[in-house]
Amino acid sequence: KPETAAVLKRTVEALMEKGAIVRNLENLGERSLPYKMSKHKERHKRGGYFLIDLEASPSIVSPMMDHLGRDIDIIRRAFVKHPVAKAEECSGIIPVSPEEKLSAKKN
Amino acid sequence: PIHMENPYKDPPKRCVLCGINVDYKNVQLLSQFVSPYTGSIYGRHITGLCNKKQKEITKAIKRAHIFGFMSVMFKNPQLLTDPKLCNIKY
Repeated sequence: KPETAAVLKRTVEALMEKGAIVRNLENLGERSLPYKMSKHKERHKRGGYFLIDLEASPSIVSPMMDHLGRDIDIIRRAFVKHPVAKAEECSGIIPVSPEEKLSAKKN
Repeated sequence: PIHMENPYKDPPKRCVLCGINVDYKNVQLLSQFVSPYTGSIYGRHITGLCNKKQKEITKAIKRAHIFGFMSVMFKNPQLLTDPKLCNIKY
């Protein structure tokens, strides 16, 4: 467990050096991975999942992926955009008349 | 005669996820739209979802595969007893 703390500390410090603002760090638990992953000449079966809320410029992404790729303790890395919570207006299935479907409409 | 919109129309049919936010992290929800034998994603004619939600679900499932949240070739056996959302007969 102190190793995971050290890994997290390292990554967060590296992020802050590049000028990212860390908003939140969540631990999604430690569980057995869905499939065995080989990384850095080792087959991994269990892993801890962490989610870091970031605010940063997009030029940080590639150097950070490089940096995290070189770290042996990190099995998989990924950057995802913050999902904009907008799905409140789902108005249900609008029935389409079959004539519209038949008329060849290619957008 | 006064022309007005049909007052006896039923409200538009909603699909199963019509209000629920889809996230790549909740593997349980995503696994309900995946075959337990092959792990392949069900098409729109099986899940009965609207356009938007089907797209969101496929994208979230692919993301979960790559990030290591969900298995690719099969469905997690712990999630086998979930309620059935898709109309598929085995």
